Amino acid sequence: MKMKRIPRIGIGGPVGSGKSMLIERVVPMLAAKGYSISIISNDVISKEDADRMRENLATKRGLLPENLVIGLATGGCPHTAVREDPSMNISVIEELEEKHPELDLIIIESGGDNITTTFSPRLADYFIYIIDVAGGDKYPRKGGLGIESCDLLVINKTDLAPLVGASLEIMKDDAQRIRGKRPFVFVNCMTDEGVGTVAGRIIHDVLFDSEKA
Amino acid sequence: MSTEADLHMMQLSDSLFPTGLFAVSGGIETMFLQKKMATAGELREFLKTVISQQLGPCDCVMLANAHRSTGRDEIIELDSVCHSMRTNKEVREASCRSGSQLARCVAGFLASDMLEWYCSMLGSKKTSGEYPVSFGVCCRVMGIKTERALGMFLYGYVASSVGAALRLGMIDHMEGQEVIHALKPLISETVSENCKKPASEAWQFAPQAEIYQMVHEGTDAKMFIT
Repeated sequence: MKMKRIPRIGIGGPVGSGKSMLIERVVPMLAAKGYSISIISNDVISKEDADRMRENLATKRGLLPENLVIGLATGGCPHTAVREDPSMNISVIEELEEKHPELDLIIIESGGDNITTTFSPRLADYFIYIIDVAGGDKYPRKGGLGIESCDLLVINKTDLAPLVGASLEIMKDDAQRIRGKRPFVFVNCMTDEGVGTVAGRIIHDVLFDSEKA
Repeated sequence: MSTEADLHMMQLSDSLFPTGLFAVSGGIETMFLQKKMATAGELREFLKTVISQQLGPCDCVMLANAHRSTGRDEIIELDSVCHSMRTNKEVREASCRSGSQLARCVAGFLASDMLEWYCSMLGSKKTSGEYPVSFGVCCRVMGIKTERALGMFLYGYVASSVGAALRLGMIDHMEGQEVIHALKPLISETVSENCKKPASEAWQFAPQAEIYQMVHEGTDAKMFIT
């Protein structure tokens, strides 16, 4: 029996860059437009992120059913679970596709990892890589597979730039140079600044609906 | 066996083969976190127990029967019996997910009526895809002999368990290889003992290991699926 293939987004980035927070901010915007979403959170050491998202998005706000926020342990190998051997993620997704064909989108969050993280194209149709300003304005310039090859580069925590001595202009110039014509966006997940642009990209580039960022 | 069959064996045994075994610990994580296991020697003894009391008499018997089975109904029955002998939800789910992904991956590069049928049964939920049964089916269609298949299966368990212990920081890389080496005689003996037994003689009894696997299910902070 052939299941409907639900579009999948992979979100990767270093520990603390704001992967879970980005999901918590984007999902309400997509849900408000009527999209039905499931989240798989690959975590290195705990179910904390999945539990927090479940509480914030499902339990408190009812934006999606609690059982559609799924935590998946990765044996301490977050990059392996989304790239070299994504079989456990694919298995969970196949179960979702069978039980919830009504879903419009599956978001797969990688555990925090280094700048070489990428997603297997068998697992994710679209790859968002997120870094944060607090890591220093050298981050985009350093490149790395994640920063260079993702479909959308998100640079989070713009409000911290003056506090850590980071220049957003330098980050912008370096991101443009490294990524060429491929998009990047500055966001502040605490205030939702720029998050609408990410949601717009997802709607346009992944769900192929009319909204364009 | 032909060189091609040897290469099939290497491919299936390789840790690069995508079955998700890197993410399972089979209770080792819980034992380590509860300070019930802390040394390479204790790991070795635990693995000996699981091989002698669970994997040998149950999984290996199921695998060998699936490997030599010519009847498709028998494969479904073996999956069903194997599934019913898994008392722990996490272990049961992980086994079925690994088994399903294994069969689908092999079917992706090797044309076989048997595999195509097995994958269609998995897709329609008419069989569970237990890892030992799926492993037996795949080894058969790849021309890998029963004894070799059992040896690969047990070696894969030991290697992935050692990998889990390494990542937990319980042992170092040299100790890991010593554990694998020390278990080779037991693996060999277990293969000989179980490769010809009928499925009706399958059993398993490792209650303490199962209890740790069950405790893992309710643990909040964990690295591994089991």
